[in-house]
Amino acid sequence: MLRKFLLAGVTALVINVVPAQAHGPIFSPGPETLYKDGVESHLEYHRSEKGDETENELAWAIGYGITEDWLISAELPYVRIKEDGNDNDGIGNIALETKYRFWRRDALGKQDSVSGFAKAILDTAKDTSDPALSSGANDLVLGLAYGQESLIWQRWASIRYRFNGDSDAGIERGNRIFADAAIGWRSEIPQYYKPDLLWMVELNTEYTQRSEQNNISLADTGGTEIFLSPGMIWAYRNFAVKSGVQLPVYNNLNGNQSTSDYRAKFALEMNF
Amino acid sequence: MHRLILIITLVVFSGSAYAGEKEHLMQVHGAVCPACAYGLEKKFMNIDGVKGFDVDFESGVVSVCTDENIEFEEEELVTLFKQSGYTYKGEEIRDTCTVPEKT
Repeated sequence: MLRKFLLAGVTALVINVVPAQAHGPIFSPGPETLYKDGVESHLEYHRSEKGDETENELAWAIGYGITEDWLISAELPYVRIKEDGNDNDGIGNIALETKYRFWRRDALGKQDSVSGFAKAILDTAKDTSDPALSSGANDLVLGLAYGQESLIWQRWASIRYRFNGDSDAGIERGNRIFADAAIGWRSEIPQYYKPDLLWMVELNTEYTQRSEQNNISLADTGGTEIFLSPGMIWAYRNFAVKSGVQLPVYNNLNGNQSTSDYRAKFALEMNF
Repeated sequence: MHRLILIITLVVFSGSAYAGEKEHLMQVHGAVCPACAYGLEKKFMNIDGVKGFDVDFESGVVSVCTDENIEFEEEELVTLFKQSGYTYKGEEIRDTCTVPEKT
């Protein structure tokens, strides 16, 4: 039972749906925000496999640009988890996010920017079934994202710290640190009324502290995983299709834990 | 006769130039992709008298086709570009429109 809760804490919560990303990285946050009074609708399918566990998630997120620098968004996921032959599905953890771009430098055909963001992941999923869809805790993510976008090359970097709440089972879930870098490239200078295709590759690092119970570290928790993540964005004006796959290239997980096989993502995005 | 043919040809193939309209050419900094420039299109197209919009990313020129009587105040343009997430750098006016007209 303990393992179920720990697994739920590691899997169902790694997904990162962030609106206002039509021209940002696929698996990590970028500094992009929406124009003032802009609305973005984002529908995303995510699948991950890890040992004998498979997770499918369909999430819808909507974002609103309060100003050109300040974005708020909400995310509603539907999750299906299969583990050891058992499966469970239902509404996942609803997340609320705010992002503020506090620095921007514009030049001809180039933009550099930095944003800070906070995301609250609420314990709204069923966590009593087997396998649990949630770890039974509210979590908070804080982070910074930098981006340098030009007509051909794009570069991004971000860091996030996730404060994981204590689970209903009394487990102090280990906090997590994410560090990401991404490069994007398009073969020609974009034209406004033509489709824009951007190729991308990311390096995603995830470090998880050991979880504890009654001040005792749990052996089969925590560790580091690094993913190499190729992907692409196809966009036409206010509509974008994004897809990519995260492939594990390094792992150093404590104790006896399954390592990730892959994670894949497909998203549709539209601005209004 | 040759002159008449030339005039007819010019009239027939000048379909992208609209009568009674003008084109505002605005220099923008920070515009790097169609998806991110959509906010500019939306804001301009919500203005009465605006008929067409385009962006040349390489030269950093936003082209807006309007009715002849439409004029933008500089302060208005600074705000509009700022709210779209870009920096406005200046405007020139052309007598004819070449950008695609929205229907």
